[in-house]
Amino acid sequence: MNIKIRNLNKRNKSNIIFKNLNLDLEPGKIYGILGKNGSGKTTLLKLISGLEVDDGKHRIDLFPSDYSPVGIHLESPKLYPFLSGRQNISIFTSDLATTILEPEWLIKVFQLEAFVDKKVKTYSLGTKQKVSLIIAILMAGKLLLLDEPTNGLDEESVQRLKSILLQLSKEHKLTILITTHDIDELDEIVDEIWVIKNSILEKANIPERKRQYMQQ
Amino acid sequence: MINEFKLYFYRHKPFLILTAFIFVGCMMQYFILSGENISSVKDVLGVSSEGLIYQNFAADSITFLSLVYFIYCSASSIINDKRNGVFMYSFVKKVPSLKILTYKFTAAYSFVLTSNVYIILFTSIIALSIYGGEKEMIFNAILLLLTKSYTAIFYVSLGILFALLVNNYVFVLSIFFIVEMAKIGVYSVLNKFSFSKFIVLNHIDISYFFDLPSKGIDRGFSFPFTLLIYFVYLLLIVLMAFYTFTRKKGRLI
Repeated sequence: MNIKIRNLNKRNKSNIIFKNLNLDLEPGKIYGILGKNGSGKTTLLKLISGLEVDDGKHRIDLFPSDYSPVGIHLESPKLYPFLSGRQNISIFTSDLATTILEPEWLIKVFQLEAFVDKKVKTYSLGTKQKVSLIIAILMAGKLLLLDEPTNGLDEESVQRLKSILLQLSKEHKLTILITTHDIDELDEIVDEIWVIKNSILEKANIPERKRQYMQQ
Repeated sequence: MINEFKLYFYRHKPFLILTAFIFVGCMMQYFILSGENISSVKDVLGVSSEGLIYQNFAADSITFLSLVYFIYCSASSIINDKRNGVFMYSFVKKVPSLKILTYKFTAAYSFVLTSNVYIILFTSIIALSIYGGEKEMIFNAILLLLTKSYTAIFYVSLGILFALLVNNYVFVLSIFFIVEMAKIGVYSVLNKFSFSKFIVLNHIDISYFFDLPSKGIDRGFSFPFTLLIYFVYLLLIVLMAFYTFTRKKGRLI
């Protein structure tokens, strides 16, 4: 099912963040949203996930009949510092009937085995980021929203994240929306790039490097 | 709900804290009631069992300490979630606000009840080991659990409401002292007015209605009336918490 967002308006005090924003998202595609700091990338994800209301005080609900259709990772990982990574994953996903991927498999792929049973307060930013990404992936039934997902990740982890995202989009037809201020790290996997400019979304050229990456 | 309840144990290490409170409270009462003091208390209260007096007085001291701890823990279940931004997961999953808050309140009440069982059980064991056993102590322990939990539930409900309103632990913890001062004010100043019977502060201690060695002040209300006022206020607090939570939803992440 295609996701259509129409005439989305959002202002913050006197600043217009989005004006008549339209967005069409297809299942199985990865979308990259580019924008400078403060351009509204995180706000866009919060609006799409229903965490924030638009100017008309409406909360977007893209999948009214589904429980946990959206997985979200925001810039700073949202975790309990006094719990271990595994406990955090369990506490936020234990109510889900099914998940696309297995938590243990994701822990292994993200190379978290040595850390996952230690308390989150002892983690580096990158490790917290990985736990938060796992929770978002597990929560995502139909749509995955990632805000600056490569923050704090090393090159190998970025590569692993890319392969997981490709697997989720191609094999499980998950729609993925990634916001970043630096597309270089992800342009190989995105199907479309949109740029936030002057409160509107503009479509940019389809990245050439994607094809090269897919051929590897 | 079970996750919310488990978080209290991960977050606050209750067995360690409560054991420390039990140790302090029991030691304190042991010294206070030592020598001839316990005989004087027996005469004043007209209670023959030393164990019963000790059990009651020790439980009083410990639950006074634990009340502040319960307020802190219940407030923390909100403030901690706000600070860590984890309300986001429930909101994205579309868990209804009513369900989120019901779980918060139920977990807080269950925590109070479990902690009080632990406190009163160990206080009773200590009382038994010092003054010997009495059948009455079992019934007394149940009454203590009931009366102490009744008062604590009111305070933790207020704690949750204030934690939703502000993000400051100091302010939330001050509830205890504000309520205690207000209770004195209500009793000494407002009690001559008929409307004072509808003030909840006159109804948060039900120890008077039971046959306990140390009981609260008789304020001249019937037990059903006290319960009615208490539950009406409790419902109002929960409703206000729900309203605040719904209004502030976007700012909780």
